[in-house]
Amino acid sequence: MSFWRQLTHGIHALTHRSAADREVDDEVQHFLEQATAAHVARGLPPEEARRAARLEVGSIPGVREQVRDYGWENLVESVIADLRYATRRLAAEPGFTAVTVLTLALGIGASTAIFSAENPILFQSLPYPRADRIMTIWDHGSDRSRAQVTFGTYRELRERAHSFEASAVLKPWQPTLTGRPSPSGSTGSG
Amino acid sequence: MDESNTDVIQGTLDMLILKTLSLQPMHGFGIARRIEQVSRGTFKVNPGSLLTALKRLERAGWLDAEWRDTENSRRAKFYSLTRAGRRQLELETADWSRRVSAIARLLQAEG
Repeated sequence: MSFWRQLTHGIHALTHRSAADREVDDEVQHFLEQATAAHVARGLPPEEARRAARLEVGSIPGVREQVRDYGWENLVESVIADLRYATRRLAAEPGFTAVTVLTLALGIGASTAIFSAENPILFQSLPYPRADRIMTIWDHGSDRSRAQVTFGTYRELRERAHSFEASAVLKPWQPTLTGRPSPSGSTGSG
Repeated sequence: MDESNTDVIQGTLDMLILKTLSLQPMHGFGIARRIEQVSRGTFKVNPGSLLTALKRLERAGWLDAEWRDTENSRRAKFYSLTRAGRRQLELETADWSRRVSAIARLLQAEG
């Protein structure tokens, strides 16, 4: 495939649309004339010959369309026509356009916000080297419910457990924001 | 009324056009006429398919096209084979012969 020819011929057809169309018309017309002439040469009267040729060639606009349809430039042209049509319709109904744009904007905005929050929490690994080897140690009560370890346990673990390279401790922190109209609680670790 | 199928075998139109043009440059109608005559009416080329194929082959770089005056001083688009087109014709001819002989072997196979 000659890429260069595809490109230059396509661009030429795009920029000289009417000339390109006329060329196709001329070629189809020439075909028809020649077919007529061939029938005349076989001895048909001109009118009959024209009819026979037209039957042979088929629908002339059909042939024209078939030939014009070939090529990437037609795809470009129909995409441009579609865009133009869409713009016209949207401009004709500003209310509908506004609602659509707003809906899309909110939808995209909300999805982006949720994903930005969830991505580091759920999907990305922790920002420590070899994050897959970090563990949390919990204590449990007699009913096997999860409980935080005491500071004493932490100290003992630090001294006697050799399976860990390093350890750290989290201290629960539940401050209360006091102020008007009502105080509110929050939970964190420090 | 002749009811037999005169469609060109699918996928062979390009090869037939290239072969026809390897003899001399021609315009669209000339090509259609020649294919019909040489095949003794077995194949009739539909003008829409022919002109589309010519456009495609020209784009592919296998044909060159030029508007020239005909012998009865009408302007017509004449197509001629390029060097790449000649190579393509050789390729397609070889491929076609290979397939035809394979089909012939299959049809003649016994037992």
